Order: sequence, then C-alpha cells, then structure tokens
Amino acid sequence: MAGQTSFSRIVFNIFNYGFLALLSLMALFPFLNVLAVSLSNKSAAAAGLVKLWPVEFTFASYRFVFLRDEFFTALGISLERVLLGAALSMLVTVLAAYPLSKEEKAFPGRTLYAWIFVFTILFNGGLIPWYMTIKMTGILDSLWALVLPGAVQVFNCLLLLNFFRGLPKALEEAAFVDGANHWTILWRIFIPLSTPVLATVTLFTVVGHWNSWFDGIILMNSPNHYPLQSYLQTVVVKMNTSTFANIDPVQARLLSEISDRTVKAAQIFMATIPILLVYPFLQKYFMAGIVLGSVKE
Amino acid sequence: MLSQRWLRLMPLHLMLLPALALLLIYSYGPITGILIAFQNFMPSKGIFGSPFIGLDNFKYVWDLPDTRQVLTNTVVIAFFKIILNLAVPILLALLLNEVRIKLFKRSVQTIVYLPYFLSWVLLGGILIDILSPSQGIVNDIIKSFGFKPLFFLGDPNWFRFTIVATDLWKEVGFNTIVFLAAVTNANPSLYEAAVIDGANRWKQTLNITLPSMLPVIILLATLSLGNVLNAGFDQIFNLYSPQVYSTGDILDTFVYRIGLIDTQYGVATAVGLFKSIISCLFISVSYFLAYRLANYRIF
Amino acid sequence: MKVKRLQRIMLIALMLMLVWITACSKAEENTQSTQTIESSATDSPSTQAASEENTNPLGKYDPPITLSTVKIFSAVDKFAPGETPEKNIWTDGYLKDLGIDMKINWSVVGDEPGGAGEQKLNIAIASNDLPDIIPVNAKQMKQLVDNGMAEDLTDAIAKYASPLLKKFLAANDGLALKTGTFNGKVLALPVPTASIDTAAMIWIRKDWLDKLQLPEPKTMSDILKISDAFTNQDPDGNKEKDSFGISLSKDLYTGGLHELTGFLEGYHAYRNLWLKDTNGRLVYSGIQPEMKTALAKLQEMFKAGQIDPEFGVKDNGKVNESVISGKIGMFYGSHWNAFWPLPDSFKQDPKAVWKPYPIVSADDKPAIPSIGLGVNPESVNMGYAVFKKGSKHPEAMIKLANYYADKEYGWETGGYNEEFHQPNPNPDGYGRWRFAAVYAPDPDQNINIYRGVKAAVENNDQNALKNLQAKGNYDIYQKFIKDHDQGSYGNAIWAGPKDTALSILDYYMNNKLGISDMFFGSKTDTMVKKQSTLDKLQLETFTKILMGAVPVDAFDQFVSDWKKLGGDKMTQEVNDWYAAQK
Repeated sequence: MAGQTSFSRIVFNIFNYGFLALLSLMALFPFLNVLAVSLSNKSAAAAGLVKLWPVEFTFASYRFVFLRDEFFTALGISLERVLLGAALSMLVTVLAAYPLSKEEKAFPGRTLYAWIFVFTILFNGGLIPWYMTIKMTGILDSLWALVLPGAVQVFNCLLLLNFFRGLPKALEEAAFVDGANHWTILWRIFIPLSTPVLATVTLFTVVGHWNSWFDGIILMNSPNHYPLQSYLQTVVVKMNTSTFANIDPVQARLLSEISDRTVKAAQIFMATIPILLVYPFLQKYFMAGIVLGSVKE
Repeated sequence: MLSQRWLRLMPLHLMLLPALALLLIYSYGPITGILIAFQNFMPSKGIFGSPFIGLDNFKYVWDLPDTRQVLTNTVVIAFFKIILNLAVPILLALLLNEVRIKLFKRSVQTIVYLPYFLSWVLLGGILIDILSPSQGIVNDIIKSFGFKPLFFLGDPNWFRFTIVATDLWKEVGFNTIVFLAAVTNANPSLYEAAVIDGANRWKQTLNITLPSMLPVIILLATLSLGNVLNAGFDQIFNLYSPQVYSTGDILDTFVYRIGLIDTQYGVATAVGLFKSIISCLFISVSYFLAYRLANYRIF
Repeated sequence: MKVKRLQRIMLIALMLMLVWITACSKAEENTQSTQTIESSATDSPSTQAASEENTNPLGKYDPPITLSTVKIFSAVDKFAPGETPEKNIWTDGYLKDLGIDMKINWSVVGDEPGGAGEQKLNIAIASNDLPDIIPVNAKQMKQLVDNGMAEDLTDAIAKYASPLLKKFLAANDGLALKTGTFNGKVLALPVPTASIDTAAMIWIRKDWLDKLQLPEPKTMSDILKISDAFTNQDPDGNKEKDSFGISLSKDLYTGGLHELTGFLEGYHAYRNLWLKDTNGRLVYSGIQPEMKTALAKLQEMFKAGQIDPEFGVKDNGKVNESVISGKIGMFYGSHWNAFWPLPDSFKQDPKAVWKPYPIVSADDKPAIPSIGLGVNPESVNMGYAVFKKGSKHPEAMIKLANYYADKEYGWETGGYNEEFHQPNPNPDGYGRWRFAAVYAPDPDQNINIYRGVKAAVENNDQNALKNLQAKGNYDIYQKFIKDHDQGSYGNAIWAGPKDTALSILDYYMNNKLGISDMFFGSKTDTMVKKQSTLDKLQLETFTKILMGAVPVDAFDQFVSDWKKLGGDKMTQEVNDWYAAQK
C-alpha cells in the first residue's frame, strides 16, 4: 500500500516543499530589507542603495534608539496593554462563546443574543460618539481606554462558538448526569478540548492589541503614554512637506534626523521581534486534535 | 420543574453578562451617532441639537461625479480580495497539513506571517522598488522570459491586480492560522478508518479534512461578505497615484481625499452607514439562507 | 498535562488582571482629584480681573488666572530630559511674569496636515471638548467660526498688542490678519510667517554644469537644454544613460520639492491662484492658456526620457533617493531643501555642489514666483490661534503672543532671552520655543538671519550679529568654511552669504518679485462642496497629459469640465467677494 502511493506522493512532496519554501522567501524579503537598512550607513539608505545586505555595516541606528527612552517606555506600555487586554478579552469572550454555542432549544434566546453581538460589528456610531462615550466613562488617558472598549471581540467569539459546537454532545450530557454544572463543563471539558482554537483566538487578541495604534493616539493625552505602535506611527510617518516652507532653522537641522531611514528601520525591526516570538510559543497548542480523539473513545 | 430549568439556564445568562455590559456601554452607547448621517452636524449643538436634513448627505455623495466609478473599483477589488483571502489560506493550511517535518512546518508558518506585521507605509516603499519596470526584481524575471516589463503600480490596467496580489502576500500567513486550527478539528479516528478503506491522502483531504473545516469556512466566508465595500484604505492610500485613480480609487480613499473626513461629519457618517447597511444585508441574507436551506446556524 | 498548563496560564492571567484593576483604579482616583483642583482654580479669580482698564501688553494678572490649551508637536521636536509640555521655561515664565497658569489638556506628536494632531483636534472640536486657546489650521478655524465657537479678538488686539506684535501682523499688507477676519471681526490670531518662504527656486548640480560646460540658467530654454544634457550627456560619468534631466514626484505641483510650481511659473502659469485678468475680474490660474503651453513642454520632456517614467508612483522621499544617489541633478524646490535632502546628497557624494537659482522665464517678461499670504493655512500648529467663545480673558491670548515676540525677538526691548528658544549650549538640538502656548514669530526671521550673516561675513559688521539667530547661523557657517564640518552643510547652503537658499529669497524681495492669491477669504460654499473634486480632476488631467497618456488638447476638455462642474460658480462667488472687499 505504501509503495502504491509513493511515486505520486514524492512528486507532491517535492512540489509542496518547494512551493512553501518559495512562499517563505517572498515573505522574508521585506523583513530582511528592513534589517539590512537598519544596519546600513544613513546616506546610503537615503539613496535607496540598500537591498538585502547592509551597506557600510554599522550599529549606529541601534545605538541611537537605545540612547533614548521613548522606545522602551512605549514598549513597556504595549506589554502591559497586551497582558491586561488579552486576559480581559479572553475571559469575556470565552464566557460569552459558551452559552452562544448552545442550540436554541437548549438555551432559548441565544439567537437573539448572537445577533446583538453581530450587530456591533456591522454598525457603529462613528469616531466622535465613540470618543465621547469613552470620555464619559472616565477612562481616557489610562490603560483601560485601550483595553475595555474593545474587550468583546465578536469575531473571536463567533469563531469559538463554532468550535464549541463541534464538540461531542455526549460528553456534556454525561457530565450533567454526573451532577456537573455549566461552569464546570466549560472549565473542565470545553476549554481543555479547544486548545487549538483557544490558541488561535489568543493569538488574534494579542496581535490585535499589539498592532493597534489609532486608539492610542486618540485616547491618550500625552505622547509619553503611547503604546509602541502609536509611538512608531509618530516616527515612521510619511514626510508631508507641505508646511515646511515656514520651518524654523533649528528644526530644519533636525529634518535629516527624522527622515533617517536606518533609525526607523531599527525601531520597526525591534518592535516586530516580541510579537514574532508569541506565535512559535502558541504553535504547540495547534496539535491538539489527538486529544480530542482519545477523549472520544 | 420550571424553576429547575431556570436554575440550569441562569449560569448561561450570567456568562453573557460581562460581554453584554461592555457592548452596551461601548458599542450601543455611541450608536446614536448614526443620527449624524441625517444631520447637518454642528459641534456646538451636538448630536441632539443639530438640524436634521433628511437624506441630503447621501445625495451629496451620490451626486459627486466620481462616485459610481469609485464604487465599481471598490466592489471589484474587495470581491477578489474576499475570494482569494479565503481560498489561498485554506489551500495553504491543507498544504502545511501535509508537511511531516515539524521544524519545516513551524518555520514556514512563522515566516509567511511576517509581512502581516509591517505597515503599508513601509511596504509601499519596498514595493515600488520590487515592482519597478526598470529595476524591480519581479520585472527582471518577466523580462528574462522575453516579455515586456509591466508597470504594476502605475498602469491602470494592472493596478487592481497588484492591489489584490500584494494584499494576499501580506495577509495570507495570518489568515492561514485560523484554518490551521480548523484542520485539527477532524476526528483522527476517521483517518484511521479511511486508511483501512484504502483511501489515499487526496481522498482523505477531500472527504475528511475539508468537511470538518466547513463550519469555519462558512463562518469566515459569511463574515467576509460584510467587507464587500472595504477594499483596504491603508494599502491603497499608500500605493495609488493620480494615474491610477480611474481603477484604483476606492470609496474610503475617495472620501478621505476629498476632505470629507475632516469636517463634514454628516457626510462621513452617511458613507459609513451606507457601508454598514450593505454589509448587514449580505450577512443577513447568507445567514437566513443557510438556516432555511440547510437548517444550519452560521453563528 | 498540557491542559493543566493552559489552565494555570489562565489563572495567572486572571490574577494579573486583578492586580491591574486595583492599581489602575488608584491611578484614576489621582487624576480625578487633580481635576477638581483645576476646576476650582478656574472659577475663583476670573470674575473681576477683566474690569480694570490696564492695557499693558505684558501686564501681570494678580491673582493669577488659569487658561488651558493643547500642544501639537512635530516628530522633529526634541526636548531636554525633564522638560515637559506641562512644566517648562514657558509655563514657568507665564506664571511668574504674566500671572497666567497654563494648563495643557493634552499633547500629541504629529503636526503634519492630516496627521495625529489634526485628527485629535478635529475630535476635540466635534465633541465640543475645547481648551481656552485653540491652535488650528484654516479649515478648523472656519469650522469654529461657522459654529460660533470663536471669540472676537478685535478689541483685544487693538488694545493689548505690543508694538512688536503689531509690526509682525502688519507685514505683507496685514494679509495674514485679514484671513482671520470675518465680517469685520478678528476671530483668529494668525501666526505670522514670511510670505516669500514659499517661493520656488531651482536647485542644480553646479559640478555637473561645469563638467558638461553648460551655462547657468537665465531662461527656460537654458533649463530645457540643461535637462537634455543631464539626460543624454552622462553627467555622472558612469558611461550609462541612467540619469534624468529634472525630477518630479507624484504630487506633481505640491510638496515644496520635485514639483512643477517654479517650472510653470517660467511660463507665467500658476497652479491654483485667483488672479486679475485684463478686465479686472478674478480668474482661476489653473485653466489659463499659459498652463497648456507649459504642459506641452513637459510632455515633450517626458517623451524624450528626461523625466523618470516611474515618477507617477514616487513620493518626495522616494525621488530623493535619485537625488542622493546622483541620478538627478536639477529640481524645482524651496529654500528648506538645503536641509532636506541636500545634506544627504553631500554626505553620499562630497563632490556634489548644489547651487540654487531664481526661477527663469520663457520670454522677456520676468518669471514671478507665487508667494504665500503671510500665514500657513495648512499648519495645525503654526496656523492660527483661536480663543474659545465664552472663556474669560481673551486679551490674555494677545499677551501671550506679546510675551513670545518679546522673549524671541526683543533685542531692542531687552526682553530677548535665548533660554526660551533653546538650551545653551545645545549639542543635541533640543528645542524650547515649541512649548509656547501662542506663537508670534517675526515674519522676517529668515531673511534677517541671511542679511545678518551676509553683513558679518562680507563687511565684518559685528553689529549685525546682535540678532542672535543670525549669530547662531554665522557661527555654523564659519564652522563649515573652516572645518568642512558635515553637520553644518545644511545651514551653510541655507544662510551663507552667496549662492545660498536665502540669497535667492533675498533676491526676490529686493526685486519685488512675488505674486500672491488675490482671494484670501474663507472658502465659498461651492469651494467647500466642489473644490476637492476639481482639484482631483486637475491633478489627474495634468498627470495624464504630462505622461502622454492623453494629448495636450485634453487640456481644453479639462477647462470646460472644470467650468461645468462648479468652477464657473466658484468664479462668480470669488468675484462677488472681491467686489465686496473694495
């Protein structure tokens, strides 16, 4: 049997590994470019001469970043945000997904609830009312402003409830017979059996918090309170030169500093490393299909 | 009897409570803002004091000379993005599922999701280089096959293609993750049974893996239908230029560029509401169709 | 086992959350208590102080009053450790000298048009969450005025403006102040700026000119010759045809470098001004026949390969790469190009000699550069200052402007204090003047710097260096001449005595070359509704003509479309406004 499939299997494997390797190369390219620029001479980078290999290798840009506090202050805030935000978000989302995963018969009203949730991803009142609401709840300029308003991730919730629905009903029923309640069933059966999707949703939540920058700029009242991506946004701006005509000479001298691509690249590179480390860590939870099988028997 | 049932359901309501409370405050609280779409909004008077002007804001946008062209561009670009951003990640997840070398699998997974973390401002600069007709590596390859170089970012005929392709390149790794989780949904005992029946890998994929992924695929397909008017502001804003306005200008960039975002809140909200209604329509229809025809609740 | 670990992780996360909730709620309490102090401080003293008719421009409030504002910084700004928007030499000075306790409601980085500052301020305006002193751009000013949210400043300026501030505001026929005037009332204090600063100039690689034995440009045909030679005669000497005659970015005629403004002006064509025609009516310059002539020339140049065929997708920063890597030796730009991107070009290739020239004409009439109105309408930070309607002490804002003028330019009054501008010495380029709540810069600041440096270098006039800004630039210039210090290159080709950026502006001023928009009212109704559409049409059409995608005659179609789609109506409105001005 093995021999029968092997030839086509080998051809497939060659194609498959080759394709995936090619894809990886394409994905790696911009990242290597950023790394190369960050390690290059400033004017060579400005001249667009750096491709995949540094030109006139130097650590100057990293030295520049390390000498200033801003990057690390913002990094600290981002880490706090991700920890608090992901914990909070996972908690409310998992709690909501469980009841929503029930059949309408078992939990009358779940469909109405589900639409109440979905409605919020379809309609929103716009920027101004959103800002005013957050201001009214008194959390402006605090970490809570970045964490509470978006805590219910409806998309993640729908994803979770879909996976929860796929779990064997027999387990739940047996547990009820044994006298378990909904809390124990969620904690003892659903969560342990859903590690792949929980890992996925955790990753989404963490990445979402890590990447969002707009709320930081709007909801924080001082640049010192910006999370990392909001801070980067102020650094990696496109130069809009239309108001430069009236620039002050003291400021003008610093123009070449903010247009310095090597420093920007160094900060982008450093800001991407932490989030990249999260994924491999979570990857081991993607293998849990086996657990499900063993439970079933 | 009744109270016992009630006692059993109580925890379910309780579990929903925190999420509902948060949604009530932060999502339903600001929803009155939708009224702005029908107002000549004046900051000094607020949402409840500004004069209502009916559908004038909608009419204003509709009457702008470019609106129809822009809507076409938006729908075309969004449509292809929706299809490819579903199909390719599913394919990639299946291909990765066939990889037996763990280290390779994990490395590929991690690497392909790298571009997701780079912003379009940055990628824009890199793409201009890569796609340049005179010096770009992509066109070097095209030229080596004897074809004429293509101006991917500057040719209106190629711009939409470039937008969809580069979006796929940036997002594919990230979009694959959820399907990788879905692959694990399949019951291993089914594979064992299939092997005994002599089904090859292709048959197993078709008959076991894919069907077990189906709920997630349907969910994502339905939700992404809601994006039929979201063609990706950031990306297009950073990649387009006057010469490709004719095929590349989308609703969001259009509204932004003509300055509606700044001060004409009524018009901006009207555009947002229009998009919401269209999304809602698509999602509701697919939800009820699935329910009626297959007795399946998508969510 | 994995299950257990996951559970443990979740438990830890939960505990972390609890810790956070307690920690953060404490922090909240703190902020709330400071807020109550603030509000009580605003209430008490303000009731009587205004009644006294003490019109001293720098009079002190006793007891002190409290005012609030917001600060929008640029990504360029750097501040010394310990100096914050809330506490710095300016806030200390306000309290000590003026009796004004300045509160900063919020601060943000990003003062570029459409940037973070503008967005945050838009939200503040829309949610009616405004400080007393509001820095705005022209768009936001109009919004505040339309909504009746701006206090009348007419009296306050008349009574309280110091002689220095009055002088600044009177520059350029007082146009700046007129742009902030609505129905005879001054509703916004403009930040005076030099109108000449926006004038275009030509930057050329003098070393390339010499190498190819080309004359310096005197007419447009010289420019066309240079462009041809820079394309075809291998100016960089690498035996490859890889250079372009002239640079251009996708913004086409905005942005201040790699753009066409100066080129068009060589043909007496202007992109977007309202100018008087022979009948005395105001007409839109972008649709005049001169424009067609200029576009036809550009199309020729594009077809001859003198313009990068890929320019249409490149922004300024991207085009700079070609300048720095020595592929482009001529571009139309502005005075500040001395700082960006030319220092990088010099660093990359020290043999590069950049020299600025005044714009040149295609015929016997002189080429006249377009200049500003003496205010920067697009800048949210350095545009206008509005005083919130209903807040007490609008005159305090004028006093703050007086204070700024005095601290920054008061060499005559003795008020000048360099410590307010920047720390001294200042090797790290820290700024302090950006902390000021209201700006009132001298519109002649840059030109005075140049004239000071020139007098000192050429006539050894030490008196000229009493202006300490001139002295600062003089010192940097000397450093460049003596030590060839790379870091001083920018200042040297900016303010140096000869063949520098400011020398071109000085030339324009001395020869009274400069033409500004004759329409300086706020946007008319049709402009609000249609202008962005028309602007898009213009940019798209010009780009296509230039690239040869459509024939030059498409310009005629554009003109009739422009008129039909609201242009005619706009012209009428502008002329009505013009008639009312007389």
